[in-house]
Amino acid sequence: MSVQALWRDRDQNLRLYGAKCKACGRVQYPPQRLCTFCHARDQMETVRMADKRGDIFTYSMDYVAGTPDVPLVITIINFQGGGRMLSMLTDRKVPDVRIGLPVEMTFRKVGIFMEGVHNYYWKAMPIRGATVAAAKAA
Amino acid sequence: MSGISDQVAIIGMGCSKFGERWNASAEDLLVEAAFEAFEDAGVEAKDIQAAWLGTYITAFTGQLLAQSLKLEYIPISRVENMCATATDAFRNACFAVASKAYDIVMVAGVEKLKDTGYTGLGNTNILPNTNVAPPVPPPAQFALAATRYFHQYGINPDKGRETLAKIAVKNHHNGSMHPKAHFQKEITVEQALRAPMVAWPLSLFDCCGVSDGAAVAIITRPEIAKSFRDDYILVKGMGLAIGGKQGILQDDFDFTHFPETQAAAKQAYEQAGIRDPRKEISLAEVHDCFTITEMIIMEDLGFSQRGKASQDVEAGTFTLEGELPVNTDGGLKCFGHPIGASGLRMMYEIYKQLQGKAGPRQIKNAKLGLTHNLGGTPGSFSVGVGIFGARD
Repeated sequence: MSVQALWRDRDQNLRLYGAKCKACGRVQYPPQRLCTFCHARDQMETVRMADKRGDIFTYSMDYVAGTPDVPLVITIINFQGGGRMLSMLTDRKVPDVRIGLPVEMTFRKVGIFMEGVHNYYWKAMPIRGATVAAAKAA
Repeated sequence: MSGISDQVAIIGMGCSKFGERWNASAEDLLVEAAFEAFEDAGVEAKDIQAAWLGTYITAFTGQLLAQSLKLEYIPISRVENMCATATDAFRNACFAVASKAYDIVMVAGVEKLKDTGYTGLGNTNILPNTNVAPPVPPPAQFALAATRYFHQYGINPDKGRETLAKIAVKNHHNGSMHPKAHFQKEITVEQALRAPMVAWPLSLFDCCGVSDGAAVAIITRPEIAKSFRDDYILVKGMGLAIGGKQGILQDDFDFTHFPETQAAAKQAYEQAGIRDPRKEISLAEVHDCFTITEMIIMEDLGFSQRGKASQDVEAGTFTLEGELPVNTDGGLKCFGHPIGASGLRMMYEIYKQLQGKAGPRQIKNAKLGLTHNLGGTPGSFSVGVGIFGARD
């Protein structure tokens, strides 16, 4: 693992900064030098993806990936306002996992690497209180 | 751009037994496949003027090939394009003979996946070097497409999984008739549905074999090929399309089609003059790393209409007896998937079928065969498509 790359990627990893292209207005994560949609170069302004809500566009549930919490739920999250990312779904109950589930992003420890580097990243989770509220309303 | 249609001929091919080859090194597999190809072509190692070695993780540089076959200081390029490696290696070799830079060259693909010490292919992280992204092995990546495919086309997942199982059953039926396939047994839909879940909705039999193996092709120009054999096989078209993570970066990608397959196929179809693939292609070897992959490929190659591949699978369109046989040698699922060799193994089956040498798997009236070889994950692929035909 590269500590140099960790330092270089700190905005997209720790701050979950995405980018909006000033030329075409489309959002993408992580930020690109050339816009994936219109190919404009270095026209990006920062977007705080961590502040955004999203929903599950698709998902899979991996029973053999070797994570402590089985199954590992992997999602493609589409953000409100544009942009998407591949994200683990945490703090979830398997029966609640569905396409369209509203989520928010949460900052979590991913693991300990190289005998001492504590790595952090963002995960998606069902909006806190949402399923409780729905159950109460029902 | 005219491509290299009808400018390249295959005069020999070889393929090792694929599977758990604990006793075989990469050198052993290359010797096994290469000497079958040399004998088939009627050449010796010293006749090879240049070579391309395709491998994902088994070697760097072409030196493994030079040392294994005792090729003395000839040009050898090592090629990698994930699971599309072998097709890319073959494509590069085609340019070398079509340009007349070389007359007789070889392409070899090899992989020793059973030496890695883990099952499956491990993780495919999206962010390089930083280990922050979640571990997402290939089954979980392709399961994203399956979940979305069922949702988009209103397919109940239980029914959808049954349709996918039929693809695996077909491929095992075909592969059990090929002595070199990794798996030699047929399976049933019931066995597939009861198998352990890997990455929902994909279970064990939705996932291809992890295998050792090697395959080799010897190619030249048609005018030279005539002096080696009458039944050389012509390359009619070769396409290669490389994704740049468009599907992961762009929030409007649907996860139910793979644009790289469409682009590579379009290139190959144009070179080969194909307008109606479903009618004009006699048989196809496609990249069924997972059952859902084969299903989506049917649509992306134009064999099925968009959204209708599951109906074609249910109707038996792609079985040996069907309208357009797909994976007559068992595909990745049953023949196995040594990454750097798979594209050449596909060509090996097409080559034998076009020569009438496919034994119990023989298709009648085989005229044009297609290979489709795909590496990467939904959202960003490398895809190679080849079209082959017998001489007139």
